[in-house]
Amino acid sequence: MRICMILEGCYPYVRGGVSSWMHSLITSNPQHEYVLWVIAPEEKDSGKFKYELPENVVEVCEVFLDSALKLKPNGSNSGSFTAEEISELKKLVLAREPDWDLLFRVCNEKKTGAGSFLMSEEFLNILLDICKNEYPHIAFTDFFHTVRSMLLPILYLLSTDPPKADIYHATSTGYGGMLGALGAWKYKRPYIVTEHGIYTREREEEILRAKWVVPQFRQQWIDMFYMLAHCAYERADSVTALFQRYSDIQTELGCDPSKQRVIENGIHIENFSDIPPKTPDGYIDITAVVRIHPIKDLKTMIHAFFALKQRVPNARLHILGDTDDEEYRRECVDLIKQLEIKDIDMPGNVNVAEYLKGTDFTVLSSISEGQPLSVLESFAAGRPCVTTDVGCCRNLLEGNENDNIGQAGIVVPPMHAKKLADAMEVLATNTQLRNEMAACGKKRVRTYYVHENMVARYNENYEEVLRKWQGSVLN
Amino acid sequence: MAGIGFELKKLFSGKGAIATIRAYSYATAVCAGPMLLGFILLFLSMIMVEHTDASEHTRKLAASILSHTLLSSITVNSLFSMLTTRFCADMIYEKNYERIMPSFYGSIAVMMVSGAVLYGVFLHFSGIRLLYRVLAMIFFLVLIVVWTEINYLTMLKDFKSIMVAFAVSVASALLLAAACIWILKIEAVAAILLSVTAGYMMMMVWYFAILYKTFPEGFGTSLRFLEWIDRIPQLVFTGFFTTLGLFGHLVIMWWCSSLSVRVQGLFYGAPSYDVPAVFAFFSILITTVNFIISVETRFYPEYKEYFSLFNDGGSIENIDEQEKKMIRVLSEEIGYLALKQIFSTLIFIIAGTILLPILPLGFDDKMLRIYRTLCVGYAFYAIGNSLMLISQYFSDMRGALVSTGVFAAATNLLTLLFTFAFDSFYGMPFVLGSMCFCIIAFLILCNYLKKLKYNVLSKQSLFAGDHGGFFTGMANHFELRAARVQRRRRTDVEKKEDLENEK
Repeated sequence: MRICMILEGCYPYVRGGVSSWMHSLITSNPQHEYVLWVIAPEEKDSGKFKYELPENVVEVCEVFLDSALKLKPNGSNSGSFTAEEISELKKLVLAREPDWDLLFRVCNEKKTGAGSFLMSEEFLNILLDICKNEYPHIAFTDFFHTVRSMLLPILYLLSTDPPKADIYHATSTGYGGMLGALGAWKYKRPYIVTEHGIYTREREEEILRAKWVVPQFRQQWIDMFYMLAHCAYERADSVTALFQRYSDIQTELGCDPSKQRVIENGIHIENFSDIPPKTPDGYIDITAVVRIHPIKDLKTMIHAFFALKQRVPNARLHILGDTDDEEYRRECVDLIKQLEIKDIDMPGNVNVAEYLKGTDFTVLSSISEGQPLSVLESFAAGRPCVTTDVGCCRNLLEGNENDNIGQAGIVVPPMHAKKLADAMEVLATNTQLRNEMAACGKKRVRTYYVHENMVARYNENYEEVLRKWQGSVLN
Repeated sequence: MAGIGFELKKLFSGKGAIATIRAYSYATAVCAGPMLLGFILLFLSMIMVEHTDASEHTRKLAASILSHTLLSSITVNSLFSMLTTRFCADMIYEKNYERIMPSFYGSIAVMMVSGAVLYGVFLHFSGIRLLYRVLAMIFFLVLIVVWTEINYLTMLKDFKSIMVAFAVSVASALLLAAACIWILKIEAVAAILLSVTAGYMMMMVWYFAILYKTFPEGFGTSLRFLEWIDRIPQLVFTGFFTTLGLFGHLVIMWWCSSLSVRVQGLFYGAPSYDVPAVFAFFSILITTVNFIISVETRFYPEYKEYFSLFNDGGSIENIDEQEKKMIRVLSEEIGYLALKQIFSTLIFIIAGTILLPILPLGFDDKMLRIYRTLCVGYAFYAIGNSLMLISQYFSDMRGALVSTGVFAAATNLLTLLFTFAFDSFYGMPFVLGSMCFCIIAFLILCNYLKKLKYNVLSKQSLFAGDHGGFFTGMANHFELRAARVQRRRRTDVEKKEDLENEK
C-alpha cells in the first residue's frame, strides 16, 4: 500500500512526540510505501531533516508556507469567477463552511493562483460587501490585510499538486488536514485524520496570545482554523485520537462519532525493560525528556526545582532533548544563572535509555500534551513520573475507568511551581512510594501501550477504511 | 508634486491684488517655467534684433539657433526632470536631505554628457560658423543646468528667488545685447548668442548659490537617483513624451512642410508657424497657474484625508464618504479649470486676432489662422495635462504614460500625415492630437477613479519586494565606491582640523 502522510511542522524537521511516533510507525511497516507530504514554514529548511528517512519512504514533497509570499498574480485567471464560485469564496472569507469540492476545483484544477485572487477586483468586492453589511465600523484596511494574510497560505496550499497515493493520512487538522482532503479529493482515495493533540484548540490559544494579530480580528483567525478542522473531519473516512477525552473534543468540534476511534500510542518496551533500578549514590536524580520549547514550560520546572533544592539539597535535574526554540533555551539558561541553581544540566539530544539508568524519577511540566511518549518510556524503565494535568497524563498516571493497576506518579496543575515542587519532594523523599509507583507504571505500559499493538491497530484501520471505500466504489 | 499646494496657500493668504498677482506669477514658474522663460527671452532678443541693421538672414539665423538650442535642452531635460523630482520628494519624505545635492550633480552630468554628444553631432554637421557652434554648445549646456536648477528650486518652493533671478538676468542679458550691438558693434548673431548665454549663466550661478546654501553637503553616489528608473520607469517616458507631443510638431514643420525655410545648413525654421505657436502657447498660462492654485489647494486636503483613512484605520463608511467628497471636489475643480481655459482661449483668440496684425511681426491671414487653431490645440493640451497630473497623484503611472504616449504619437504622426497629404490645415493635427490626449487622459482618470479602492489596495503586491534591476545594481556599485572615498575624505578633514586645533 502507498500511504501519503501529511505532516505539518513536525517530522522530519523537528524531533518530538509526533515525530518519533511517525518515525517508528513507518519503520515498523516495511510492507507499506510512504510518501511524506510535509508543510514547513520556511524554504530555507528544505532538506534539513532531523531523522534519517527509512527506506520505505519513497517520496518527500515539501511545501513551504513562505513560498506563498513570493507569489505574483498569474493574470490569466483573474476576473473569471462564476457567481457560484464568488459565493463560495465569500463563505471561505467568512469561515462559514464553504463547498470544498468547488474550492478544490477552482484552486487546483482551474489553477487560480492565490496571488491573482487576492489581487483581484472580485476579492475586493467580496470584502466590501462583507464590510458594508457586517462590519461597517471596523478599520477597513486592517480587515483587508488580515483576510489577505489569512487566505494566502490556504489558497497557496490548495494550488499545490498532491502526490499520488492509495490512502491519505493527515496527522493534524489545520493546513495539513486541508491538504489531506485535497489529495483524497483529487485522486478519489480514502482519507484518515490522526490527531495527537487538538490542533484547533492549540491554534486558538496561540492566536489569543499572539501579538501579531490585530485584536479585533482574533475571532476571524480562530474561526478560520475551526473551518479547516471541519473540512478535515467532514471529508475524512476515519478520525483517530490518542485517548477518549480528545476523541470527545473532536466530536464537540463537529466530527461524526461513527468514524471516530481511539488508538493509543505504543512504545518499544524491550528498549527500556532491561534498565535496572538505580543504585543509590547519595543523589536524587530527576530527568525531564522534553523539546526545549515554551509549550513545555521549563521555566516553571526550573522554579520548582529551585524550591525543591531548598528542601532536598542532594537533588539533581537533567533536562534532555533537542532545542526547538533557541531564544527560549537562552532564557532558561539565564533563569538558572539568575537563581544560582546548581545541579541542573541540559545535555541536548542524548540516549534517553542510558540516562534513565541513573534516574530516580522523571518530570514533565508541559502546558499542553497529547499522550507523551516520554511518560510511557519512563514507565517502561520502571521510573515513576510527576506530570502536569494536561492531555491524558492523568489517565497514564492514574489509569482509565476499568484499570485497577494503581498510581504510577503524581499529577499537578500546570504552571504551578509550588505544587510541582511539593510532588517532586514527595517522590524524592519516599523510596518506598517510588518503588510502588514504578511497578504500577511498568504494568500499565505493558498492558495498554505496546508498540506492536499500536502498529497493528493503525494497519487494521487502514484496511477497514480501504474495505469500506472499495465497497462504496463498487456500489 | 504633492506639497506644493501647502506653500502656495500660505503665499496666497497675503491679501490684496498685488499679493494675488505675485502668487500667480510664482506659480507660473513652477510648471511651465522653463518653456515660458525661454520663449520670453527669445522674443525680447528678437524684438531687439529687429531694430538693428542686421540682415533678415542674420535675424533668422539667430532666432533659429536660439530656438533649436532651447528645444533640444528642454527635450533632454524632460527625460530626467520627473525622475529627479520624484527622487528628491522621496528623499525629503525620508529626511535623507544629503542625498539631494548628489542627485543634482549626477543628473546634470548625465544630461550634459549625453546631450553634448547628441547636440554636438548635430552642430558639427549643421553648417554654421565655428564661433556660432561653440556659443550654441555653451548655451545648450548652461540651459540644461538652469532647467534642472529650476526643478530643484520648485521643490524648495522658492518661487520668489526664481522670479527675481530671472528678471534680473533677463534685464542684464538685454542690456548686454544692446551694449554688444550698438556700442561694441559686434555682429548680431554672435552678440545675441553671447548675451543670452551670459544672462542664463548669471541665472545658473544665482540659482546654484541658493541650492548650495539650502541643501546640506551631499553624501553617497551622485547616481543613486538612477535606481528610480528601475522603480518607476514610466517617469522617464512620461516627461519625454509630453515634451515630444508639445514640440515635435514644430520640428516637423521646420523640416518637412512647405512653410519650412532653410536658414543655413541644418538650421531650418518655419516662422509663419513658429511665431503663432509661441503666442498661442501663452494661452495655457491660466490653466497652469489655476492647476496649482485652486486644484492643488482645494483638492489636495481632500486627497490627503482620503489616504490617511486607509492608513489610520478608517471604516468603510468613512472611506466611501470621503471618496465621494474627494471626487466631487476634483470634478468641480476640473470643471472650473476647463471653463477657465475655454474663456482664456477665447480671449486669446479675440485679442490675438485684433492685436497681432498690429505688431511689427508680419502677421498675415495664414499666420492668424494657425494662431487661432493652435490656441484651441493648447487648450486641449492644458486640460489633458492637468488630468494626467491628477493620474500621477493617484500613482497611476501607467495611465500617465499611456496618455502622454498617445499625445506624442498622435500629434507627431498626424502632423507628418497632414504635411505630406494636404500641406495645409496647419495646426489642425496638433489640435486633433491634443484632443486625443485630453480624451484619453480623461477616460483613464475616470476609469481609475471608478475602481479607486481596487487600485489603491488590491493592486499592491502581496508583499513589498525589492526593486532589483540594472540601474539599481549600478547605483549600488557606485554607492560603495563613493561612500568609501567620502568617508576617507571626511576623516582626513577631521584629522587636519584636530592637528590644527592642537597647534
